Amino acid sequence: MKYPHYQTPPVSRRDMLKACGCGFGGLALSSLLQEELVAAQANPLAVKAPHFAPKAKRIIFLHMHGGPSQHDLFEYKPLLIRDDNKPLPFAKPDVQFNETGNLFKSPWDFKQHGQSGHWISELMPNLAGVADDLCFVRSMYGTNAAHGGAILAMNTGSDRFVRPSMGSWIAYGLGTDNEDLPGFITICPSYQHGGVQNYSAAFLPAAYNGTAIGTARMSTADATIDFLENRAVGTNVQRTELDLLQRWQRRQLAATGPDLALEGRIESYELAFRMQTEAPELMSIHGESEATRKLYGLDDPLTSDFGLRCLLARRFSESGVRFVQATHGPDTKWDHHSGLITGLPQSCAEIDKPVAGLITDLKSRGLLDETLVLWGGEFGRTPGAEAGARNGRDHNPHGYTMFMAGGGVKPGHSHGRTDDYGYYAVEDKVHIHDLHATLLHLLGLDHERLTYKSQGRDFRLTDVAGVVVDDIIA
Amino acid sequence: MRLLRSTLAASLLLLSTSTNASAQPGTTDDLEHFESKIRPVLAERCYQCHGADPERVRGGLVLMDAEGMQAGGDSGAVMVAGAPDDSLLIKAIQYEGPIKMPPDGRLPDDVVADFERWITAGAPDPRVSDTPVVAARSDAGAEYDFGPGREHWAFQAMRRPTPPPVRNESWVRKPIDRFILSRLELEGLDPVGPAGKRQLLRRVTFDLTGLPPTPAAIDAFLADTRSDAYERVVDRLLASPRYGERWGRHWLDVARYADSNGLDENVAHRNAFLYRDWVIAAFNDDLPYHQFVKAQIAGDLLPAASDEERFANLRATGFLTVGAKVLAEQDVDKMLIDIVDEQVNVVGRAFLAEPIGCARCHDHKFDPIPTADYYAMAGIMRSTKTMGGEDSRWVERPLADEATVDAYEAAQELVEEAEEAVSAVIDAQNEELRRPRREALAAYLLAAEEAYSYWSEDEEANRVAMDEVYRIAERDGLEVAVVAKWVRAFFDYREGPPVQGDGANPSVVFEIWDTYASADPSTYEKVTEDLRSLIASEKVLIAPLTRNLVRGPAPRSLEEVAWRYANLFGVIDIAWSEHLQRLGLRDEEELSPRDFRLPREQEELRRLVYDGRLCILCLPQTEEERFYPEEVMTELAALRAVVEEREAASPPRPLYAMSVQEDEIVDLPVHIRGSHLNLTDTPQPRGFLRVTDHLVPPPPIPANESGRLQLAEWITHPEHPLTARVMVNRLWHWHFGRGLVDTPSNFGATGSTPTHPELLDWLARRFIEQGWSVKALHREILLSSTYRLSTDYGRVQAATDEGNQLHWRMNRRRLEVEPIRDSLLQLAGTLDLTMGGRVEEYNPRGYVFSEGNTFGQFNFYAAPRRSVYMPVVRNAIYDIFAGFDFGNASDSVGARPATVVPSQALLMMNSEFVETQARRFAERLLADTAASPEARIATAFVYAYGRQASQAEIDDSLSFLAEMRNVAPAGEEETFAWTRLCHVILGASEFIYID
Repeated sequence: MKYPHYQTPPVSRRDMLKACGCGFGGLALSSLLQEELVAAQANPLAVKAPHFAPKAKRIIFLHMHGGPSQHDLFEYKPLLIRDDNKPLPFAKPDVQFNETGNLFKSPWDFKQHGQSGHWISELMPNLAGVADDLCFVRSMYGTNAAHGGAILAMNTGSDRFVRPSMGSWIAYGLGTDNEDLPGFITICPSYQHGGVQNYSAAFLPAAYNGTAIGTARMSTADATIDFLENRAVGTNVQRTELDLLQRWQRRQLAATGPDLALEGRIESYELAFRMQTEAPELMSIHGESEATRKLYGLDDPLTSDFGLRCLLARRFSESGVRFVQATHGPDTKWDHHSGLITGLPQSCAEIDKPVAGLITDLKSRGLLDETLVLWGGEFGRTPGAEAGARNGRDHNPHGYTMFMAGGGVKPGHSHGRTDDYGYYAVEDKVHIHDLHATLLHLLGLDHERLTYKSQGRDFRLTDVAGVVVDDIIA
Repeated sequence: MRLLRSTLAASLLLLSTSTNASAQPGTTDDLEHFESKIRPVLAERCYQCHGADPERVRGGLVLMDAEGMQAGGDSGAVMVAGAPDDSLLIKAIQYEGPIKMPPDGRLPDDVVADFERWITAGAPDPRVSDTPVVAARSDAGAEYDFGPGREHWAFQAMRRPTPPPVRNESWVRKPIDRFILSRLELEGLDPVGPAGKRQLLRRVTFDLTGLPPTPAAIDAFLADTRSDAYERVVDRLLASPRYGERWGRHWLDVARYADSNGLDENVAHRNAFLYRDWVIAAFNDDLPYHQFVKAQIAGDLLPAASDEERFANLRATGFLTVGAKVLAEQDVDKMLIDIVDEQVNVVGRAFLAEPIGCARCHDHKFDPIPTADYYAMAGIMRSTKTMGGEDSRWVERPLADEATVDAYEAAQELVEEAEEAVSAVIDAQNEELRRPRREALAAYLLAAEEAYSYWSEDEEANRVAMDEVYRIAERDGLEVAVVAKWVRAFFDYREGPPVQGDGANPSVVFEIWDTYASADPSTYEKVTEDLRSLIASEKVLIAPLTRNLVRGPAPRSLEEVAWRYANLFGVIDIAWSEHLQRLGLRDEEELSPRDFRLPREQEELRRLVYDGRLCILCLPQTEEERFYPEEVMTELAALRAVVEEREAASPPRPLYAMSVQEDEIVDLPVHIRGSHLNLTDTPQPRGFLRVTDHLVPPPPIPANESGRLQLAEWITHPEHPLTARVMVNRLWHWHFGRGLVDTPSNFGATGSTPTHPELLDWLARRFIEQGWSVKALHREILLSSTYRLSTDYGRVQAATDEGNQLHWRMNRRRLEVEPIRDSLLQLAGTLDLTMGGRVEEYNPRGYVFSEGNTFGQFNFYAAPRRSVYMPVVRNAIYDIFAGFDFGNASDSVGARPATVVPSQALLMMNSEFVETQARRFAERLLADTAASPEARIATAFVYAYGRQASQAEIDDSLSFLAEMRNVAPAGEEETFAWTRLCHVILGASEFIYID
């Protein structure tokens, strides 16, 4: 969508920026020329050049709400097995929920897989099959031991203030490859633990808000975008209405003289009309082959729901959405203070095949190279059993595991280490700010240059911290 | 930029490059130790963040050279030569204390030892810097130089400008016009012509009330030819209660008002509405602005002539406490200091338009606010109690006198006593009924297992299966309802989704039973073996105590397994009653949270079968009561009547308002880098921003007061250079769509400068002279020629002043979402003008929003009340509001954006809300059956746009209606066609833009 260049600009640049929802963000991006600025503000989602050559074009973040236990999935610690049921051999953190019991070795068997030799437990057989595509970060750490704070920090970098979500920052930094779609979509997000704030643009212009599709407890098949569908009349009537509306709006514009906001509204109706057609097509999977459906586990009630989230994530991503988040929740799915032994295998079974399927599918379509898949929860869990019963683990933000695949990270690689029992990250630690810096870097954005002025100062996703984790970059 | 640099220079300590006095030369051995053991580690692990690149330096600490090492950083000196134990550097690399360095992993022990040895030897360091070392000082408050900062326009005294002369005297209606016109004349520009009467009426009506003018109001204004017809309209609108709803809402943006906490725990602010309604009333009553400010900061401390006034003042302090708080923060100190920060921030932005919060971590980089001043103000808020309430976690105070509160509490105590009497009878009776069930536990287990084989998913078939349950229960002398309940419990966990949790989880407790029950007794030896190895593997969860059931010889029959279970529960039951006896208690309810309970494993089993929510042996209370003796039922009815009587006799619960109170008085030390774990030694005395000390003498704060009252006095001092300017600018912003300073909540160096500084000062002085009357200020603005300009485009003017900063025309503005929604309801004829109160009841500490409670369940948005009364739920803003830039209500907002995005078009095109209003609007038009289609179209235009329809628009509409009738469902042609037309009228820009 390009705007005609007026010989004399109709209103001030500042007014245009404000009126059309881009604000001063455009100015903060380096080296935007006047012409580009006009285009950029007219459609805040128009493609913007990154700071340097990117390794990835888009991100799919698979969020496991509740905090999955690394000790039962990816962290193989011989000393934890050896010292099972003994007290923790070091001090516990000051802030924790319940009395941490003795060490609790995983009840599940671990094996090494692929060329990479990644240790993966028997609960994730399909992920084990794509082990050589995975790049593990085993030394993640944060500071907040509560779900709300940790998820806010994970998504926005801050657990104490209202800040834009990483998806919003990315949409702001890069725009979207597809103007008929939002730049940031979140599939079945939770209303708990920060809720909408986890995908909101905060002080960034509203166009960078994440567009939510459904909610965490909803069946994915029922999830839709708000107001996308007109239940009152058919498309033909709607088009006739729109034609009259646009005639009047254009007539008004002719009478008022140049007015970018009024002009933007005319354009926004056409865009909305196109989105109505485009988005439902994207969300309909009738064109997907039987093989693809099977790959994501759509043929099995156990995996079909999260499988559909993963498949939709691929479809959006493929269509140019910069940041897609798919949440596996609600939080009880991974928050195993108790019920680990019955609950964890169930949750793993729900996501193992879909996640592996997504990676395999992206790879076979040649998309994995430019799409970064990120998997993880808001924190990990303790190596000790919670409150004595050997059936649960407490929250642990001091050391946990995430993995990535594709999008410019080293396949089959492992970064960082926790201590011998998997409690604290000790080597090559990666803070959430570092993760954010790295994600932006992979997209060709310098986290220190991606700024937005609000409340009198420049803000960043990484606040005043963040170091790019060079070691994982391919 | 000049100002910026000088401010920076004042707040930074510049260390010269030439001196190297404190670096120790050291012996050759020492230097070799440094070169081989210290320098490489510094280079590899430290320089990335503490190197020469000033852009990347963290914590103000440079470790690139000896001077940097000596100078230290924001946290002070990093080392004391010769004393490793006193050196922050060593503490940091030992990972002891709040600072842990390097952050990406602790250095090996031998490296730490190397550093200790080096510092013990006097930290010899041969490195000489080649770049200036700059370190920010966060404790520089005492010697802070305010001089350069005070040069900033906003910190200078308000002048007393005389309205300037102009050439075109006839254009001037109010002094404002002289300031505006003289600037335009200076640029050689003429203002465009005045707005037409219809345009002006629509503009001022929306501006003051947030609603469109009614056709009657339009006709009256057009017919009124008196010279002061417009003045009369302004006075009428200012006197309307709708005015307070409109302007109160503007202030609520600034006050980041919300009906829920947001952030991590989105619990309801069930009493926030009392603050909101106070704000609306304050605007309607034209409460002088300085009193408005004082009440919000220190209402609880103000003298009051009556209870009514006292309660109003308490409600006003809701301002301090409706902010978003991290409620699940486990570190209470962190939570409290974050709340204090939020309060300091909102006070700064709302009243002073000064981003004070920037000075939390370091001296303000652009404005003359040293960290010391931030903590002086933070001390005031830290000496104020915000948290620690009973019903909610924040402070709430009763809006009733003590006697009323006491009477209510006394009455409630009586109610509770009566309720206890009821439960005492119930507990005793239930115990009578349940004891025999417990004793027959084995029989129940076996009976349930036998009956289970008849049970299925099909509820129809289960009616037949119930016959079997009857038969078995009767045969074994058991209660039918209890057997049936057990069968259902089996069915739910065996066939249903896996049950989470290891507590009272039947699948975990009965795993062993299930295994035996599904096997032939002849195989029990093998089954027992298998169970033992399954238990050892821990892959299947089996309740700990039940694991003992497979110890010893294998059972020979299912009866024996049943008896083993019964025995296990019996043991627990005995342990339980003995335990209660020991404590002298009757039942579990009498246990206090501190009392010892049974070991968790025992208690969980007991709950599953005997007690609690899942209790298999319990029947619903109404069913249990069917077995009560008649005289007990009579007694129970009498006792329950007492409860009801006392409840009825209790006075209603008094209203409680979100508020604050004085707390223990503390002075806060500067928190280094904003961290409550890293404090400087000296507390900062409570106080205010010293940048205005030359204009406003800071009121002394008594040692036993928080200082809020003095803060309020300081802010409302008539010579305060910010307060009045900020408020008159806010009014200007809300009337014109852009302030004279177009960053209404930031008058600092990073904000904008005023386009008309003299006008700003004249208005501010005028505001104060007129007793801080907001309504008088409205009149001053609204009656001006400037406000009455049309929005006509002027090619000549636009060439000079494209952005209309000089006010050669009126700005065209998009309505905020509240007037959009309210107008839709007004056109639909359903707008409910009830004022105040809660639209929805919430529970104390209740969550307003979760997956189980989504928009679908939230019907309160359906209430056709004015938008200002719709609950503001943070993190889940009403979708119609969110669509039109309402924001997330967590931050103070001085200027709402007016974005144009496709999601708004989708909302107008497809939302059920707009569709419904369009239909109702159409039905209203059709209700006038006598009217011609042309007349109806004309009426619709007057309602929606406040103007007559053009002939072209009437023609367009007529042919559109014809087309729509053709595709309408049979019999609904008229309603359908007119609904579609109204949908178009409401969707057009003209409806939501004001000229």
